[in-house]
Amino acid sequence: MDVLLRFLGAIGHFGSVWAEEFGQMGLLVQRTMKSLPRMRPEPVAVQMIRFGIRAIPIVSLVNLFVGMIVAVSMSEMLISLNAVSRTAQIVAVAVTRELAPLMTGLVMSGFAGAAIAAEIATMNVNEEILALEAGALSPIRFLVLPRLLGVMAMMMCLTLIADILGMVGGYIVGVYMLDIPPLNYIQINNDSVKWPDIPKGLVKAAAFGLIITVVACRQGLKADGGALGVGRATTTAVVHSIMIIIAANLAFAILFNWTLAGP
Amino acid sequence: MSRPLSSRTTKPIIPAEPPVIEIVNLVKGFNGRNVLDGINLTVYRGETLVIMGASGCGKSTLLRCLIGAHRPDDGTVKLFGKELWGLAPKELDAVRRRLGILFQSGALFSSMTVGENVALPLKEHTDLSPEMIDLMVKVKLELVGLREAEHLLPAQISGGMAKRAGLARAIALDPELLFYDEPTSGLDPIMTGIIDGLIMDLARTMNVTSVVVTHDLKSAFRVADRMVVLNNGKVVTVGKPHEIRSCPDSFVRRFIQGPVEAKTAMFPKSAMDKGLDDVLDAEDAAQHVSRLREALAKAESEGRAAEVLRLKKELSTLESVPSGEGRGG
Repeated sequence: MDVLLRFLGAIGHFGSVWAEEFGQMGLLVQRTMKSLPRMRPEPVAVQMIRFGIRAIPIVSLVNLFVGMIVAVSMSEMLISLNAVSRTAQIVAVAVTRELAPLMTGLVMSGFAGAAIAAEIATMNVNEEILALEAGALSPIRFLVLPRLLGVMAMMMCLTLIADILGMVGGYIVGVYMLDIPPLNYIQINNDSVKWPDIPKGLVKAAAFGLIITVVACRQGLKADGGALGVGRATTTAVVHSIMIIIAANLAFAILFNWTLAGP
Repeated sequence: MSRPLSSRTTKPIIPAEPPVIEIVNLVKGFNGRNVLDGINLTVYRGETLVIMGASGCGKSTLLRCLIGAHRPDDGTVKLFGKELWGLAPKELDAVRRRLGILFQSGALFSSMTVGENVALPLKEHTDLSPEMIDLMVKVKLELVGLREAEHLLPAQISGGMAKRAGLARAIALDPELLFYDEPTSGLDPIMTGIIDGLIMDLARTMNVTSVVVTHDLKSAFRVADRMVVLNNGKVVTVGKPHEIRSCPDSFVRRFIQGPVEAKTAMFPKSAMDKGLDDVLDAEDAAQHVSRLREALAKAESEGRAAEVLRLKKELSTLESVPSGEGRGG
């Protein structure tokens, strides 16, 4: 009985911690949106370069490999079904609908989320955030808003790049390892990519960008305890954003494949 | 820039004027412990109030309550006649634009150069042209002796320079009220004198009200119009510097003079005059002397004459006590 009560207590504690965390993140989003009219383009551009342009190589490479992995993984089954040319279709659908936004989100959790959390946490423990507030300057407008807009915009751009590189990965495996004729591969690939899949992927990418930035900023802004606090904020930001991104991806999959498209 | 203590004239305080800062029964606690326990204070326009007290006595918490960073558990904090926690965010920002804060570490924005740090409040809160802002930045940096560091990042300058840059940023908007958190800690004696002089000049020439939190007694007695001594979150005494010097309270006496037996033993008048009390406290001095004696014994046993001579000289400086004060050992 005692064990059961402790178990229920632990679940309750876990639930209340996460409920508070989500509530605080919601408030952060609301306050950030309120500062939107006072947005300036230069800081947003700086963040787009920091977290977007510099992430292109890593996002490209990861998604190239992901496309190749999907093609290799499916090849055995497709060969046995005598449908090896369908590799192009499977890769195109998997990449554009799910893998490109998801993998880009996961990569950016580490690339941008960790950097944002560490940067803001360091500013927090060094009293820079307090200095902003004491100088009547909003940390939300100065720090959160440019990062949020920059990461959201670049997540969409990076997801487009990821779509292309994922399909290129599938093409390399299909054409050079599975001996599918190049024109045949491209034809099936192009036919398989449905127009709504791309914007749906972009909506997911923007949402993942929001999750990454809000989680990272929240962790950074509540950090305390010196270097230890900075490390804790960074780790928590990455772990939480990965968990929330995967959960959100499931929600999007249900929404796009069942609710909007019908079961 | 700094004036000798003796030539300093205490500014007349006009209590009839409404206070710039009014703290009534301020209580603030963390984890069930009251860090501030019923603080009552008023600070008048143009006055320099120095807050002193042992580490952990609540000085920094008091400062944070004054700038609206900590919400009091009880009591009120009024700046310019306005209760801080009753203000809407825009009204609070309007109050904050009238004050400047020098943080202990400088708290410079690490992604901006020193010049950009100083320019930020000017860009955000004034309609000055970029050329005028540039000029203002140069003037403020010149005041703190950092003209040459304008284009350096905070990571490229020393802690003392960062503190001075923080002061330049704090005075960028010519605030009516300035808070200083340990303004001279980590600075060399010359720069300490310059910063003290700047605090006094701002108060004298621009009628700036200043609240200085410091451990540096020399600096505190130099700049203060009034002093507050805190202990365990309570005000022990408030008064003018000469009143604090002659305060009979045992904590205040200990705080000002240090542990009597260690102080007289390790810090004779001659050594104190040379500024050693700025560098070492009594406990450190005891350890320092002990280390010197050990080194001397070792050097003597090893027959290193030059080293013996040097150590003896250093020890004699520390231990040369004028007659009547007893000899330390």
